[in-house]
Amino acid sequence: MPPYVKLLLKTRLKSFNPFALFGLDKTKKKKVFMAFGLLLYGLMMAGYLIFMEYHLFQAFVQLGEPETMLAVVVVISSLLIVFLGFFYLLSELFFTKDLAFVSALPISSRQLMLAKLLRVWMGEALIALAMCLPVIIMYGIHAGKGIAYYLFSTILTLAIPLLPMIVVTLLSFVLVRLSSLWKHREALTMVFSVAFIFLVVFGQMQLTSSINSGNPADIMQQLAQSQHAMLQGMSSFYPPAAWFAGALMNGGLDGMLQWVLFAGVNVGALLLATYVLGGSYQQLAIRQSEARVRADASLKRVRGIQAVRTPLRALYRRELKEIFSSPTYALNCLVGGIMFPVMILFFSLSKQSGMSELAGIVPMIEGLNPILLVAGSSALFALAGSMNMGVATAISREGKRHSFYVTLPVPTKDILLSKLLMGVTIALLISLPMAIVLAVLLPSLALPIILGFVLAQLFMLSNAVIGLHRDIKHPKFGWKSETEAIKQNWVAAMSMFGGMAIVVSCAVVLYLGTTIGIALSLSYPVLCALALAADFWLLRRLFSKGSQAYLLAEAA
Amino acid sequence: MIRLENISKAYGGGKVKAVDGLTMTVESGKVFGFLGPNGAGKTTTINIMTGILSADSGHIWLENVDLEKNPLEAKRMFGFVPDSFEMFDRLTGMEYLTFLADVYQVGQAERKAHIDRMLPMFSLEKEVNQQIRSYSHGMKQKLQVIGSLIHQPRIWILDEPMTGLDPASMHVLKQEMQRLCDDGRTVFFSTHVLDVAERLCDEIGIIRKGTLIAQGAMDALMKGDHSKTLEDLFLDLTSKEA
Repeated sequence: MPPYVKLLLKTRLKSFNPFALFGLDKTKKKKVFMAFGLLLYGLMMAGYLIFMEYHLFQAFVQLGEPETMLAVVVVISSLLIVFLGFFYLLSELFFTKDLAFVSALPISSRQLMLAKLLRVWMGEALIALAMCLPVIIMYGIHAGKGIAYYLFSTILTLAIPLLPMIVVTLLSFVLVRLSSLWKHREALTMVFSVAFIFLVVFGQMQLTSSINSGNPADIMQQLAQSQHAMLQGMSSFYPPAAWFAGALMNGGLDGMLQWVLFAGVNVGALLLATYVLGGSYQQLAIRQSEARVRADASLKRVRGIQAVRTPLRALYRRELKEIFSSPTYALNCLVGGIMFPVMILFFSLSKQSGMSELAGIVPMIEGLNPILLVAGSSALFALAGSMNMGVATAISREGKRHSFYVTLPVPTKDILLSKLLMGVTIALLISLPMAIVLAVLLPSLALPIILGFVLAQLFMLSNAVIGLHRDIKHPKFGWKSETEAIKQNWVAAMSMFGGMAIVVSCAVVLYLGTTIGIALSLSYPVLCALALAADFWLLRRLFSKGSQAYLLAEAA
Repeated sequence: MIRLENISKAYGGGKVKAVDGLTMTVESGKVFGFLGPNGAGKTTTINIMTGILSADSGHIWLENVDLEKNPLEAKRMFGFVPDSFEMFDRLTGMEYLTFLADVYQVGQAERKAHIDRMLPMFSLEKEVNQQIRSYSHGMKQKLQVIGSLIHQPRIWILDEPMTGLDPASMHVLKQEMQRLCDDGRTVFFSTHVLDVAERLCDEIGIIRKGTLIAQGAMDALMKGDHSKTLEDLFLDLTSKEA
């Protein structure tokens, strides 16, 4: 095996080691604990997936077409690989840090490309296995297949990612060739990511539009029946899915031919793409890495003398700018500001019955206690506003720059306040468009919505201060990529759950109050006053104890 | 031998010239110091010489092998120490060296001899089996130096090699440069440390705004400019028309 291919596969294998995920600074006990948590999370996700697949499979069994499920799962896996793998493959091919170094080594361009594709394939094959193996086993048990079936099916499943990966590779080559677009590639990444999220939300809404609520078995039954033609059509839309199903379903020569056809087309696509595109790959990747330098060099906007600002304002602007200038940060912090209003609009406009449902709900809501409406809308906005990772990672995102911050002749309180203000601004940017859309769609409820929006800030502030304080105590400075800094951060995840916890606890308190006869008109204002008091107390604690802890935190 | 002919590289639609018509030859058996102020085009030139960047125009020959026509053969001619180490941090030092030896197709005996000789020189014997991500900047730099010589290249290209090295390692590095030069090979390095350049280099080249403003033997250049030290010469040449 060529050394570079061997190296990339080896490093990819190492990255699968759950203990290696948590860095060198963790103790063995901590690593075992975190790996156990990760395993538990993985098992939960797998359990949920198997549960859903089982019910969909049963629905197809009842329709007398269990084999359709095999084709469906191949199409879904392929689509997942195309969408989820797009940015990974693009960055692996054109944006990795080792590109400059390996360009100076005597490694052929085709070998470079093949190594990178195989490295991506290792991860994507795991997705395909996770998606398809449960269905393969279900079908095997249903059809009473022997051991050879499981062996050959597993091998064939490993080939599923290849063709979708080649489609993405072709697309990424086209995109990178459009060098003028890549001058704005960060903005483009944002646009693609947001478009992808919309597509998922829209697809999910379309798929479930004809489903009434019920237990998971009923839901899957309804999905299989209502989208029967579409699900069946998937295999004709993507012939390899039919070959895959045919290879598993049929025995003898026919089954073997379809097996060879599926495997051959996938592996052949990889080899053909490497041969055809591989020759020009290195040159293109190098040119791409220059595109950014070119773009930076061509920046002409000189603003002259910058306005003089206070240190707090300067720090606050820098914090906000950091979020807006990085697609990774922006996506994880701001996407809710677009997604939530659009989801509400989709809900009310995309379904023909939507408006009538909404129209039916409005009089019912209008009849509710106005205080309950205010409390409900404030809970909704507080939840939405907390769905961002900005403030809870504000310290960790400093990374190695932390020591620089500590040397600044600025009170620590100002540094923390600037981060908190950034968090509050982001929460506002997420919840405000949502409030506007709701107020426009439901004008008769505009007043409780506006009041709810204002009061939601009290609860969001508590959550932001707690998140920031947690990050000061447990900063993760040793990150290598922005994704690692913001996404693989348990403080950020805790903060998002914290928002939910605050809302749920408030709802429980209000509910218990009403059961013992305390009117909402009394309990809700008291709760808001308590939230205000909590905000003051948390802020004081942040600026005293948090400031000390900030200075003591050590950069990697 | 390194030969650059009319190399140009521009950014921003040709408005920012990083390297502008650079022509120079560095003969075998010479230690060549490539000097210049920040942003002068040193790293861009080195990146073009090593195939990391492509030139807009011009030709490069490394040991008479055309980099554009025979990139793989040309790349086998040199060992390269870049100015930063940002990759493969999950590998151990030994795995990294083995990888480079595999890439350059170095035999078992040769690679063992090289590693056994170089690791103690740079005091890396203990750490070589640890993951690179646990290394300090200086340790990564030493590992890169060892790796770059694993195939006994005819040309050794180093971009700011002294950065992060402790005095003992810097001494070893200078000795290695001299050894290669005595062996008839070419050493090409960029640096800001003028004292090191003055003591080590047979020849220097000074680049400013992408243009080579001086090249030649140190003594000849200093005599021509009536400078007493390399620092005087450097400051004099780089401040002209500034």
